[in-house]
Amino acid sequence: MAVTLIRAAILYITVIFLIRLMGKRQIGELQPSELVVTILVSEIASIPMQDNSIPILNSVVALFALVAFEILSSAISMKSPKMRAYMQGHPVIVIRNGIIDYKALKKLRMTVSDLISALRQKDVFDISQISYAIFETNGQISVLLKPENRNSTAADVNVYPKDKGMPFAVICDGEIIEDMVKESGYDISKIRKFVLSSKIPTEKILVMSVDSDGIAYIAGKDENS
Amino acid sequence: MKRVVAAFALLAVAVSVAVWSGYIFNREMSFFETELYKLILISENSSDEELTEETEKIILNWNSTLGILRSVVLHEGIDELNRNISSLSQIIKYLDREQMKEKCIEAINQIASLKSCEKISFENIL
Repeated sequence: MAVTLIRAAILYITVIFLIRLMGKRQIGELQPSELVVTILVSEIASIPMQDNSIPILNSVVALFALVAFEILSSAISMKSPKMRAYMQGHPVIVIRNGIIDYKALKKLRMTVSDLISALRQKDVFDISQISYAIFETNGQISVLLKPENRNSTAADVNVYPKDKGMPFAVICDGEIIEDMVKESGYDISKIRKFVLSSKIPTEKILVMSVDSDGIAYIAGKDENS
Repeated sequence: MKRVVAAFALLAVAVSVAVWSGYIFNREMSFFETELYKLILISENSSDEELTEETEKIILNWNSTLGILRSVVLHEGIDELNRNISSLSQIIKYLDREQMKEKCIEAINQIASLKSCEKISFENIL
C-alpha cells in the first residue's frame, strides 16, 4: 500500500508539472488537441497508479512525450497558419445577417436546437436579433447582435468618462500582495498611507483595491467596518 | 520560447529513458541468456562444485539486476523469469542435473519471449 501511495505522489507531481507546463487554459477553452492530450494524460497517469506491476517509467515517458508533442505542435501552429488550421480547425459562421446557414450546421453535425441552445447560453433568445454567429474552434459560440439590438455604450451618447484604469486588490485577508502593489503603480509606503487614512489596521482589512485615484474599494473583516 | 525549450527537454528525457531502458534490458537479458547456456554446458560436463559455484553466481547476479529490470519491464514477465532462476538454488541442493537443464531451457525461452516483446517491430508497435 505504501508503494501505491508513493507512486501516486510521484504521478501527481508529474501530472501537475506537465499540466502547468501546457499552459493556463480553462477546460471550456481547450482546443481539440489540448482536450485530447488532457484526457490522455489523466488516463496514462491513472493506469500505473492502479497497477503496481506496471513500471512508473513507462507512464512517465509516455506523459513527457505527449506533453512535449502538444507544446511543439502548438508552437508550430503559432508560426504556420496551415498547421493551425489542421490542428484546430476553422471557425464556422452559422448565422449570417440573421439567416441560419444550414449547410454549415450540417457540416458541424449540429441540429438547429443545438444552435438555439448555444445561443440561449449567450443570453440570445431571438435569432432575428443576430447579425453573425460563429462557432469557434474550441466549441464556443460567438454572437454579434444587429446594431439596433446591441447594448448602448457611453460613446453612443457622446459621453467619455475618465478612465481610472483597472483596480488592483493590493490587500487580501489582511496581507499586502506585493505583486499587485507593483502592478498598481504605487509603492508599499503609499499603500500603508492609504491604510492609515482608512483607519482600519492592515490585518483587519478583508480586501482593499486601488486605482489611479487611490482607494477604489475597502472592506474590513468585521461586519461593521 | 521557454515552453518550447522545456518541450524539447521533456522529449529528450523521454527518448533517453526509452533508449536507456531498452539498452539495460537487452544487455541484462543477453548476459543471462549466455550465462544460462553456459550453465547448461557446465551441467553436462563439469564437476558438482563447479556447477554449484556457477549456479550461485548466476542467482547472485540475477538478484542484483532484478530491481533495475522491474523498473523498465512489466513485472509479470520478469516475475515469471525470477521464479525459474530462483528455483535453481533449490535444484542445485539435490544436484539434479536434468531438472537444472530443463529449468535453464525454460528460462532461456522466457528471456527470448521477453526480448521479442520489447523488440521494436511492426507487430509489437501495432
